[in-house]
Amino acid sequence: MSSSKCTVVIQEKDFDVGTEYAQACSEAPRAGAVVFFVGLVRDLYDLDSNDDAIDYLELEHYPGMTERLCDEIIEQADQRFGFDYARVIHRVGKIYASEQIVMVAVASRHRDNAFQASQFIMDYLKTRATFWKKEVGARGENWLGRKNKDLNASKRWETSPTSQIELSETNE
Amino acid sequence: MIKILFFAHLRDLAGVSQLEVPLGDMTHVRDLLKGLEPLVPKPLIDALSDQTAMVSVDHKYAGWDAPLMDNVEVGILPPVSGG
Repeated sequence: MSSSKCTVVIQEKDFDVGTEYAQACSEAPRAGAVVFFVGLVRDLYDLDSNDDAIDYLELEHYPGMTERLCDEIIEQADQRFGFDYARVIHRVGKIYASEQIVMVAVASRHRDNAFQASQFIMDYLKTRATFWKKEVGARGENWLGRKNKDLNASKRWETSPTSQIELSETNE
Repeated sequence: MIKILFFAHLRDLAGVSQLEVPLGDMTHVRDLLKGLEPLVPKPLIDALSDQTAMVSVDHKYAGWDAPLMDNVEVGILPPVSGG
């Protein structure tokens, strides 16, 4: 995958959206739309609606496989929607409540492509990419599993054969 | 040898992040369950026996029915939760 049009970065340190926006504009000078999604760490346990606070998430991934899957997801998004520029940053390690955890930036000629591509990338990142989150806080430690609502979100893209991304069929 | 990597809560259950086992007479990924039995705590085998964990072979998702070759890296992957 070309280094300037599509990039995937997995890192422990935080990122700066202002810097990333300037980079997107500079790498995609003909774009008419730049869409950013930034995911933040919620401060409550995901298990239920009780108000126990979490202190931080511990994020791990499968080095090598994660990058390969992210490249594939972005490539699929490009084939399907077309864009001038896409960049994914996913943090790993210890990430505290309200900190940034993930960013998807897409620049394209028209807004629909950027909106849809960024949503597609996020949906598949959540259900395919080999990241795992552990909540740490008032209730101790809790590994999170894949959520059905995320699976359903990614299923909406499966109407077209171009959206198929390899995944072993497993029961939830 | 087969290199096996465990992640997240399955690594916690395994007590180790990776193991190497000889291919022996194993022919499919699912045969690893038997190969692992003497090497890891029983709760891990129990957790894997319903086969809801995903597996990868050399960084590609594979089913438990996928063929197993010598010198591959197998990832034992709980349902993912990134993003």
